[in-house]
Amino acid sequence: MRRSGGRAARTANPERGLAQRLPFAIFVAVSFGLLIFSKIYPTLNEQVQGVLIDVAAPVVDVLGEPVTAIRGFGTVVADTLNGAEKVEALRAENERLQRWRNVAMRLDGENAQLRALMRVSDEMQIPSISTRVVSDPGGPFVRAILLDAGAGKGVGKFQPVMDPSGVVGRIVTVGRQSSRALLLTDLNSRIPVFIRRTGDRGILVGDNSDRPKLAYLPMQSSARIGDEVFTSGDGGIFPSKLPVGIVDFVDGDTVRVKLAADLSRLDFVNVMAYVPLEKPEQSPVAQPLALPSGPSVAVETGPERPPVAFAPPADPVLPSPSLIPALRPPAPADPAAMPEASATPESPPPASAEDAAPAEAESLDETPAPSGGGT
Amino acid sequence: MAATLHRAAVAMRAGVPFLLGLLLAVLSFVPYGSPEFSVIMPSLTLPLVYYWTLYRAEAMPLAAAFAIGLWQDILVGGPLGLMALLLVVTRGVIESQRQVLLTQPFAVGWMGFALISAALSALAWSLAGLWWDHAFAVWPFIAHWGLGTAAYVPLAVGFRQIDKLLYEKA
Repeated sequence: MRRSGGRAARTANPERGLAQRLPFAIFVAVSFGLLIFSKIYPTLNEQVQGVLIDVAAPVVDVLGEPVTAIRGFGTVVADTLNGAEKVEALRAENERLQRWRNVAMRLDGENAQLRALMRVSDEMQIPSISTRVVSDPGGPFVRAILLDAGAGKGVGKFQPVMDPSGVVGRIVTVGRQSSRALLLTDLNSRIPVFIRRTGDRGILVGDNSDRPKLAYLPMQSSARIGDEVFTSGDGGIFPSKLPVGIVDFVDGDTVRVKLAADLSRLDFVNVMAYVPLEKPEQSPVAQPLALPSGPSVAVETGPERPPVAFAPPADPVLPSPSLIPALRPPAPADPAAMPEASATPESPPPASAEDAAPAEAESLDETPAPSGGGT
Repeated sequence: MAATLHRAAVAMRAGVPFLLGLLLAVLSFVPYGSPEFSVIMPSLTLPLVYYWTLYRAEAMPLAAAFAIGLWQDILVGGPLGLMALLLVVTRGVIESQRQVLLTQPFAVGWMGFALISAALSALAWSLAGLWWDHAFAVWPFIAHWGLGTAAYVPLAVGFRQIDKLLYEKA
């Protein structure tokens, strides 16, 4: 085994010592140079990374296949072992969702009628593409994932990334064939949101923990555990009314949100073709996506939203109750902490069908209603 | 002809640790289905650079350590050069200490790895904090370091087998 020269050798032969140290100094300097470059020129850094992820993503994708297969096999084994319980749970959930579906259909009809009465133009639907997640965040610094779709399939910077339950993050780097999405939990993630119950607006701030903070709420905000949080659309980067999560920790000014999206099961995500509003006077336009060519991509339509040319509403009012089980707040133990949606008998009757909807929807849950609440 | 083939075989042999480094970097990022684990997932490239620099330095040149680190930086999506710097520093420090470490039993080499990875975790924590202007929580780095130190033993056993296969049986 070859042994390199030590101190004695370098003393005896200073030229050799220098020859050994010079490459080391050069590589250290280049590494520092890259660090400084990526800090000073973030845009250029993103462009470089956009090119590089097209190389990295397919490699990660191929090498990750065995791990994914093993993980899938483990899930199958676990499901088989807990088969009976699982079937029972799924049956109960199916029944519950069927009732929610009926509510949704009825409200959808009412909504359409009211829109017709008010002569509101038809809502545009934002197209989205479904794409595979090819990498985990990996490491303590960054909470980002690589996606198997890039500019070639219509993915653009800042576009929202969703899973079936809610917002996952946004696109930050775009390559031709791949892209990188920054998760809501990353410390660089900031998205404007509002609390559905109170209408309070704030910013969801990632801090690398699994429950981002809700910051910049109004001074008198009465956020409480179980409050549903949605995107507000402020700033035009995100569309409004996308489900984000529920408040699950309140301590003074510290409010934390449990995300509706399940970040532990990000196998596929939807990237919404929402074009961010760059200037206040410009209207963002939902651009059609290029038709997918890869087997992992399928064009879908995203959740309904108002025409993107509209400014975000001054008072956020959801058109329908959340139909997303992950977003339904837990039944509070303290009646005083109940969401307003489950009106008490003493509460004034809801002013509209929209106000009534949450109460109706809550009554469909099989979880015991809090005292004084519900139907 | 025979000499050319021999040179090609030698070059391929020398490239194995580098390719292994690229592969191990990727394995840190494949979806394991646990966000908690992905946060503390140990760096598999650090044991690799440590082992090959210590026991077969010619198979892990500075350029290879730098390239593996840069590849890892690309996968992370953070600052370019951070992992590259850490691996280059590992290569440089271990090479300077080879004479001492090579004469020691495996457990001492393991302790050496634990020490240098602790120092590098602290360096990474500091540089990342400066780069992002954010005080990162310390516990993920401690967990990261602990898992990495634990992972060194099985990885070193694996590297030893590859080393034997490449150099002693060749």
